[in-house]
Amino acid sequence: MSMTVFIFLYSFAAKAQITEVQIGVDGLTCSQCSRSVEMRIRKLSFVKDVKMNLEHTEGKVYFKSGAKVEVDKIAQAVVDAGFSVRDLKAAMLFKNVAVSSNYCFAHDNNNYQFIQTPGQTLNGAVTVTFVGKGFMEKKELKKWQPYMKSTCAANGKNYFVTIEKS
Amino acid sequence: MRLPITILFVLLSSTMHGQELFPLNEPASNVPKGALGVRAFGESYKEVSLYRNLFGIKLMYGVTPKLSIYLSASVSNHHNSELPEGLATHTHSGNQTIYSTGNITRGVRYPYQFNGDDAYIKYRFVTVDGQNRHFRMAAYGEFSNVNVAHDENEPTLLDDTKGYGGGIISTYLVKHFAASLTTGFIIPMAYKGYLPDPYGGADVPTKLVYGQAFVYNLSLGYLLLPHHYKNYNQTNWNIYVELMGKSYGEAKMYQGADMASVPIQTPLLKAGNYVEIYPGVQCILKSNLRLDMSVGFPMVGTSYVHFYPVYMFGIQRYFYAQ
Repeated sequence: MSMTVFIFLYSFAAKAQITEVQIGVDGLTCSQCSRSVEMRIRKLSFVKDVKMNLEHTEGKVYFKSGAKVEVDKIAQAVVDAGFSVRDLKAAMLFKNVAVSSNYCFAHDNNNYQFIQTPGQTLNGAVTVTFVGKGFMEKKELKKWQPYMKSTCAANGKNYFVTIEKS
Repeated sequence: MRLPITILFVLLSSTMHGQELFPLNEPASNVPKGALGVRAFGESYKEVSLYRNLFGIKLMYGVTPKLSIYLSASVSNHHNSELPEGLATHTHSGNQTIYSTGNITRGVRYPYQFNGDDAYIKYRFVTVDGQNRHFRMAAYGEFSNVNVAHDENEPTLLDDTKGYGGGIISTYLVKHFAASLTTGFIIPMAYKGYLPDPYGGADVPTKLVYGQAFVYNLSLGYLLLPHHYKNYNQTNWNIYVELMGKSYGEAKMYQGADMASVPIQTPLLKAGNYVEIYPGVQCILKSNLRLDMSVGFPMVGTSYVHFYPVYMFGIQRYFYAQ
């Protein structure tokens, strides 16, 4: 890896952050159940606020400034409350980052790998969809499994993400 | 009887979500991991000229997302401190004594006493979740540590009989409709006590072996209000219809120093089966404080352990560890 790329990644890592997560919850049918999901997510140390939309059975999660966001823990909180994750999307801030399929970047000691993503330059807040077990319905996961081949560094957790065509 | 069914059909045309927080039956879903649920409940019916009441408390805890444990205890004025005098009787034929079970007087006032406690464990092994829908299955097992002078055959854990229970719960929920089927069994343990001797002699050692039972309960539920969820402060109104069925074998009774078998003759100790219907209404305040009330009537056959109508009450909430 050339020095240029290294510097680029370093500067990206310093500025990139997950500003918000939107999580769709399957199996929810009552406001008491929705509240249980909210209470589990609120227990996470990096979570500042949770807003559940009972009508659409989804929640928006906001984070404490500077805290390390662990997306898998948000998904696990939904399971702990007794429900399943339908989809998980995160708003991430980018600053002129050229991405394409299998592009990797590290942030807060976790690796994020773009899959099935056309080449493009990301700037500003971009919604990325998390791909993998625990982040989507089973039938959806099956469609993605052929593309989930990690090319990222071995350190930290590996997350697969994609950008849905708008 | 027709009214609850009519209400259900009216609601079929609505666009509301189903509810599975059944007042009487457990759904296949669990207590959220780490949450503690507390439920106080009561049951009341009029027997001849007095009310028989049962009050209970239940603690519920989510050990894992799929495994919940419940501990309950109850008090009631359902039983005397020993078996009633008339439970066994005898006639003389020549110099032969013929023993048999006798009829029990109804409406006798008994003191309130602690029935015992009950441990229940539930494991969810099937989870098929979709948006606003799910199908789930769970297995449950329970042990009831109750030792009261229950003088009828029908086994009821936590209230009347010591013993084991277990079964399978299947809960299906799709936007307009929530349904849950519980099929299980009860293996009661015998009550060993004494019957007063009608002629003033020493109390007679008596063992009553209750019949084993199958249970089959069906619960249906609907959310009446609110039409659209906006926030947690909206009061939720749910209506339910629950069918409670039980089928049990004949009791066995043994008496005296030699524990001789006493032929069963009274209907209270014979095999039986019945299905009851419990229309119910529930209100949930601030998405946590749950108040239930339902009223039971006989539908097929009749239960001998209570009179009708049976009024059931419950109040419940969850506490989330911080």
